[in-house]
Amino acid sequence: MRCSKAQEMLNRYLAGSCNPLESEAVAGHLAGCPGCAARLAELKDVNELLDLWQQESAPEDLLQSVMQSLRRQPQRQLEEQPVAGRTAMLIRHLAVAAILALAFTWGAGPWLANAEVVDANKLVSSYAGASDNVSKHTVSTAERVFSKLNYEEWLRR
Amino acid sequence: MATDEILVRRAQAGDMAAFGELVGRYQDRVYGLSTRLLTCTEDARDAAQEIFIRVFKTLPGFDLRADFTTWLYRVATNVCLDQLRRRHRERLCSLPARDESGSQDRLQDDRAGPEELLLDKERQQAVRRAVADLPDEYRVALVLHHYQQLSYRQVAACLDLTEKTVATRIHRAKLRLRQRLLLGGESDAL
Ligand SMILES: [Zn+2]
Repeated sequence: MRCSKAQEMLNRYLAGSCNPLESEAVAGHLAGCPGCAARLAELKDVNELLDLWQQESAPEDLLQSVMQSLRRQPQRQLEEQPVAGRTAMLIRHLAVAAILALAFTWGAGPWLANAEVVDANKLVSSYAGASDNVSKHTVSTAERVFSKLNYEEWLRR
Repeated sequence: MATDEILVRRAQAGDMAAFGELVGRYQDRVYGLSTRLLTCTEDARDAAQEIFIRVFKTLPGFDLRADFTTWLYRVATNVCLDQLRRRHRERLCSLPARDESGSQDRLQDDRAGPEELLLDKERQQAVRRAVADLPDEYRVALVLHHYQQLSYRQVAACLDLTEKTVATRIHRAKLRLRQRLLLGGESDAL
């Protein structure tokens, strides 16, 4: 192994990121090369100096201000989601809207059992291409009417 | 304690409490990264907040099969790099505002204060300045690996680079630090 190659590998060697073959090759080179061995010692010194800069904890109010800031703009979060996430969300909202519509039509609540949820899901998947505006309107209307139903809980399933 | 995956899943569905738990879990690491990349306490705090907001907004697109920590660092690094670009390195504000000046004064006033402590403080400042003066692409790789303890593979995934490029950047960063901190000179050749 040449010195330039050995020196390129010294950091990984120090970090324990070399595979066994590489480690053996570097160690072999170091044993017979005082120049590279001196470089290794210097790198250890650099690492020790870097360690003088210790980790600072996050400011105590960081968590609180992040959460406050998110609660202030809940609507923007939905609008800025990437397309894949939004489509998944749209399907879920449509599923919920369909279930709520059924619940409304048949005037019942307790029968909101798994079987209906699955069927509604299948039914609603085919509406994935429906326009954003229509679905938003449907969902918001449904949510207004049925805000008391445990919608959040269902979304988490 | 809930795993990251469970919390991420719940947060993706809009569970704010679950997201809050994730923030609590990662805030020190994220703040550590932003302090070391931006080398300015005020900017680092703003950046950490922006990072978590961006994480929340993009979380629905996160693929649960991927490693959350690497993904989080990727978002965090991008926010910091954006901020560095905005700043155009015109003002690297000095470090750090929180407790440094007070404690340094105390050390100087305290007759019993060991000189070594003062020396350590000075050396720490020298290290901060040297890291701050590294080119951004070297500093990012070095900080992710050395301070955030990501493997070369994780750093590569974070930065969209090959492991070889990551190794080269870390190597060059340390050569510069060696030149400046151990040999007492600049090495602009690298
Ligand atoms: Zn050699």
